[in-house]
Amino acid sequence: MSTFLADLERSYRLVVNPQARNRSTKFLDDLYRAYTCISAPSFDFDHQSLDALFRKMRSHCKTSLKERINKLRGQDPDNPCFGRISLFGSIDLGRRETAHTNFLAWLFDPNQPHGFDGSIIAAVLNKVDDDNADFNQEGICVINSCSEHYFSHAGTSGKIDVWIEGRSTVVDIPWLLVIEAKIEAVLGDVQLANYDSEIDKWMTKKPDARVFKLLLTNDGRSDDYAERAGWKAWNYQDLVSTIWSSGRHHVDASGYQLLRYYLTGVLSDIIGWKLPLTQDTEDLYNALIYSSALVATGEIK
Amino acid sequence: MKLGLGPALTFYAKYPQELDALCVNKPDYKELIPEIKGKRLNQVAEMVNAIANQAETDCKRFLDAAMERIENTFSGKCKFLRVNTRSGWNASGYLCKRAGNPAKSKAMYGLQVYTVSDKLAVVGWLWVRGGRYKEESLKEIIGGHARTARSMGWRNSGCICLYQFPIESSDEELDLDANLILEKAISLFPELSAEQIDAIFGLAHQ
Repeated sequence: MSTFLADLERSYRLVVNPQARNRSTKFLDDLYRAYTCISAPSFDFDHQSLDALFRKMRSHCKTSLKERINKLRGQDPDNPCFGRISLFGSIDLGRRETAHTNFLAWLFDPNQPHGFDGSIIAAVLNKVDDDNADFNQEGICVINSCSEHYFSHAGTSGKIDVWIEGRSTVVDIPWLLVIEAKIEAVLGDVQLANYDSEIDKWMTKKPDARVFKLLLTNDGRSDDYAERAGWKAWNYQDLVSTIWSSGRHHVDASGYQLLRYYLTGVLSDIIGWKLPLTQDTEDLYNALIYSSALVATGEIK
Repeated sequence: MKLGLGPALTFYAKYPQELDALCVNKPDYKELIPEIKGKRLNQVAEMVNAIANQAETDCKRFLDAAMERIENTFSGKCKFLRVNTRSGWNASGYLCKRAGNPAKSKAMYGLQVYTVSDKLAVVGWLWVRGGRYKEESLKEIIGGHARTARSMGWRNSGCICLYQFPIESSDEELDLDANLILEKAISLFPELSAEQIDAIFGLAHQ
């Protein structure tokens, strides 16, 4: 015991004065190791059954993905997951948020010359509002579509990535689609709350409007506030599958090839897939989830 | 004395992709493991979440031990201040001159554990404020096998990767030896000389 205390005292002096001569941290290291061992909580689970289950899961998912990729190659060879060229990657802007939000604001605006008319914005609105899904491309009118919507009022200020105001011509109800896209940065603590205050302000002028709020992140996760405030969380695979489910039917549209290169870039630059996608992809499970979205939209039959 | 990495983290190292796929907001069990249904599904979901939480706790313990050893090498050369993070998967700290205030520091160091391809990897990094164009200069100061964040495809500009190595696990091992991984993480972290530290601060304040 006295040796232990003497060692402890010597080590304490060493901590207080690290420049001391004859320094030896061995005792401190051993003490720390002993502490971490003692403090390690015991945790037990059924290794064997989970091991077997995960092996089964891996093999099942590999088989499913292989089948779907083979089908997709036959049914939709232009799918962006088979592309090689990234639109923004070619100019080193593949992960630049503003490049993507500007492109989305342009793509979602039927007044632009891409040739998709209102089909893509209708598909996005229907997916965001999947309970109703009552938008169709003929009855959609976009009044204002902008990237980087700046606002400042009542002590809050900010910049909303995509802000699209429109009107459904069928039922004559205004709507607003707001997108917050995250690629590099992390969501700020009060960022969405600030955006909501701007949306509320807009709503005072259009109380009957339908508002759709979309949070785009790498993993499709939202936080407590976003969930409570009705922000729908998507990952980038959701964005690609939704846009392509509509865009692929417009082969003659002037922006068709541009859209393919853009979406290929989202898959490769933002999600990080090595394209063209094969069953040996390193991101097996996300690729499978992407393929299941294609099954849901009827691209894989 | 063997210091275990922890059975949960060892299991995570074995199946990082599976656990990542099942620990998202609403995992699609029907798609991923269709044969699991009803009560059994709830049991598996609970077990998966418990393993993920415990693995994070194990990882925090591992990173704390590694950070402490790395920080010992800074002693006498500069000041450091560990950042309190909620996540157990990364640990970082501020570096500043001996007479400086760490809270106002423009240089950081850190360790992280995350899934790279299909393996759990330990990553060591350094960062200085100033963006992408400082990465090359920082790499030159450190030398060795450091790589810029840009070349790694990382989003954090101004950062360099000191090393990235996988936590290798085998089918038989239920609790990996943390000491081996710890020693590797520490030995690969360059012991910075006073001149290198001065150069880092000089770069951060340029």
